[in-house]
Amino acid sequence: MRPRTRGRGVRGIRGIVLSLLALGWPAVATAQAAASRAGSFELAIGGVWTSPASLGQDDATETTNQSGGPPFTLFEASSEIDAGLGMEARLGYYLTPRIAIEGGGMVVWQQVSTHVTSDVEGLPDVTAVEDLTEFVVDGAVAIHFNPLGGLAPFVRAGAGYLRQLHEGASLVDEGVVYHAGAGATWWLSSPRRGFFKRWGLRGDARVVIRDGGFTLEDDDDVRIGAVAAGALLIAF
Amino acid sequence: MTERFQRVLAASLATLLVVGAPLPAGAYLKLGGRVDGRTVQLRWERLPARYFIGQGTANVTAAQLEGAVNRAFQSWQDVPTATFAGTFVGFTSASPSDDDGMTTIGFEGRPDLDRVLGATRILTNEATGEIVEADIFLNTTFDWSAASGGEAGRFDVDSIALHEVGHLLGLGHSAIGETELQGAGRRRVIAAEAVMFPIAFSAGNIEGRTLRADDIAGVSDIYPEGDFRDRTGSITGRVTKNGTGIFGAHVVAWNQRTGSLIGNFSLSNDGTFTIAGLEPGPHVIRVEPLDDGEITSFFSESANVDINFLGAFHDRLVIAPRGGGSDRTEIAVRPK
Repeated sequence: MRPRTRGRGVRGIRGIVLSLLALGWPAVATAQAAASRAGSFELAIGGVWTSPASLGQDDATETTNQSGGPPFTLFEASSEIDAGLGMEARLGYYLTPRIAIEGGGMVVWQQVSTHVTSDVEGLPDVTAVEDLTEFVVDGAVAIHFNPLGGLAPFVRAGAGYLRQLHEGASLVDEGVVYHAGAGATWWLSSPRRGFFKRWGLRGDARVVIRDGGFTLEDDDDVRIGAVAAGALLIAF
Repeated sequence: MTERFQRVLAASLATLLVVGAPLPAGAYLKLGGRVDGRTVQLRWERLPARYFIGQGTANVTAAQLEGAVNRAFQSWQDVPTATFAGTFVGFTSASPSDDDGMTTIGFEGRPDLDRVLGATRILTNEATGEIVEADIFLNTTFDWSAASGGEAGRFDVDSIALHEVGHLLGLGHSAIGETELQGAGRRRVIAAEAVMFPIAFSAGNIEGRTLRADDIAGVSDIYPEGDFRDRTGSITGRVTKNGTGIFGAHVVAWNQRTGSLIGNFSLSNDGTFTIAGLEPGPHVIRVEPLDDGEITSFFSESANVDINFLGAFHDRLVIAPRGGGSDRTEIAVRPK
């Protein structure tokens, strides 16, 4: 165990030194990046976290025995999609030294929770849940910037296909997902010749707009959420 | 083959049902029975159902009754997911009590049924369940109104006709409603979300003129239009108490997206229930004992309905899949 830890530390220091050099001679670093990245690929594989999302609050109602009277509430309920964890793989191709196109796939395991309260006959409150698995296949464009302090920032925007599978694969909801965000790459090795050019870590955060897919609101098919991702990155 | 016919009586009540169905309600919302070990569902095989209008009463002429009944048939006929249809043939002096091969809807004096607003008597082919005649009487013991906006102190003909035509087409009673006990064992309805709830809204109220999700699911289940069963789903499960299935538990599925409440009962001794005609998606499942009406409004007197348990929500959302049934879910309730 210790040698592996020490090895990471050595690479980490090397990464910091390389970053300092890059900061000192940005033009040189950019030129090197340009030479190495155009026409190359990057594969990122890692984990994702998705933010919880409210699915709204509603009452189960009956028609009251009073013409034109307000609905009679049987019980109240509020629902949400809980925060989820999942995996993601993204493959990028550099069209130019700064601009890459990406394709990605993501799977996230979530739960839908409905909190039921205030039953008129005093039935105990309950939180009823079901499992929801979300799949996203998307395409995106990323713009990469000069490294800053060892971190190479980028911004990215894209769109994709959303597929949500309810518990037991019993029902599918489909939609479109749009995302935009920013992140940074921390290269942990120097560029080298050969098939594998270098590797590093990548992290990013995205704002995600889901249009369609699973919803409990008839008039609100669009939901805004956030995704955070971390990945191991390999350039080749 | 000699055809055997049997009468089924279903009623809509002012306060408390006093007349039960001789046949057990064989399936949720639907009238039916057991014949030679199999369940026979009552339905019209030859549509449109042809009906005659009988006598009017004080304040409601036969022509006004015809208008109300036509609107009731039209409401059921307008359900886009069902194919039921009826057609007015003409007026008759025949009584709704006559077994004359004519489906007759009219007023009749039944002071002996002082809690019954109206009732539907159905003549069926016992072997096939085909409805061959269905007569509806509205009880002149009560004050009635055919006014478009209703009249204080008078029961709304449109509302009660809509309920009774629901029986005519083969639906039983729904238990989606809340009541409170009043004197002399009478019950007053507080709220209901089904035209087929057995206790009518108060005199003067016209809220019962609109079919609800539970009614629509029921008629669509009996007379499904084209791909109705492909576009909707069902939830199947079992209600247990101390590990043993219970009969007659009222189970309601609530869809938060549509707001619909659709119910059924556990209809076998192992506690199995099925709720069909559901919009695909997750549902909250609520189970309660049958305590908002007389048990005989729903089941035969011989049915062993268990009401000795505490109501509960299921702790899982249950998915009604499109065109299919849910995984079998088990809901455990506790004794009172």
